[in-house]
Amino acid sequence: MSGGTQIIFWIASALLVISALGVAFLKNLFHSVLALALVLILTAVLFLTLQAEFVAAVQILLYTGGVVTLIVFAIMLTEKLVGESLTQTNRKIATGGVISLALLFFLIYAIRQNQFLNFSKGFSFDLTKEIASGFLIEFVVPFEALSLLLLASLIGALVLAKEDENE
Amino acid sequence: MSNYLVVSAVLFSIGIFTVISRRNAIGILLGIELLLNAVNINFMAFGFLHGSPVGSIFVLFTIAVTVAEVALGLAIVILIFRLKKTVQADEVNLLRG
Repeated sequence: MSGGTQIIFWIASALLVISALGVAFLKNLFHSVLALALVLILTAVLFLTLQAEFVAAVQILLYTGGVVTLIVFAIMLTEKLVGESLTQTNRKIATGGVISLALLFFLIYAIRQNQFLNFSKGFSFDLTKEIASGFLIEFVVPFEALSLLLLASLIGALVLAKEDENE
Repeated sequence: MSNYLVVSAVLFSIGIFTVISRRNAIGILLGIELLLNAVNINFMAFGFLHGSPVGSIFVLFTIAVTVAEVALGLAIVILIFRLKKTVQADEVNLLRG
């Protein structure tokens, strides 16, 4: 990795951790969602440092454009029905902190065990092209199954969220 | 390279903490987003490590599955809100006998 990429990586990951903490601790739910959008955009920056431009673009378009918009819509719907802004509190901070810190130390210990992780090959080909042929040749059946899943979840969400006409 | 894995581990732990400690159902969904995002970073890092496009393909699959999951999850949250007038996860006890 070149020096510039290294610097961008450190800045992006520092901001990433800070905004992830924002998702976990901000009192206003809407601010939490905005922090999540920041997390997703910074993840796209991390993908860029890994030479994956296409995945970074998809991350911004689908995640930041789609998922965050969906969640904001849900918040606005529920907020409008309540008539007051949603605040959220944390409970079981001790339990959650102990479990997540234990997990974090275990993961970092496991990562440090593997010294072979210190080299990296990188992509010696056009990644976007390889992704396209992978989707259409090797992974074509999961790809079709995925489209079926999206259709099913769309219909399911519609059926669940629809107002009941019988009431 | 292991720097990416460490960042991903930190994100994953924060996501676990969010899922455990949030009372709001939408907040829990945000925590799940963090978890999946950490997994995506790992996939990309290992794809880069091995010089293979399969990691990126898996990330695209994960993103699509996440979109489906969020759509259904939010529909369920709105439905529960309509039934119970609350989005606090521990006040929802419809299945309690």
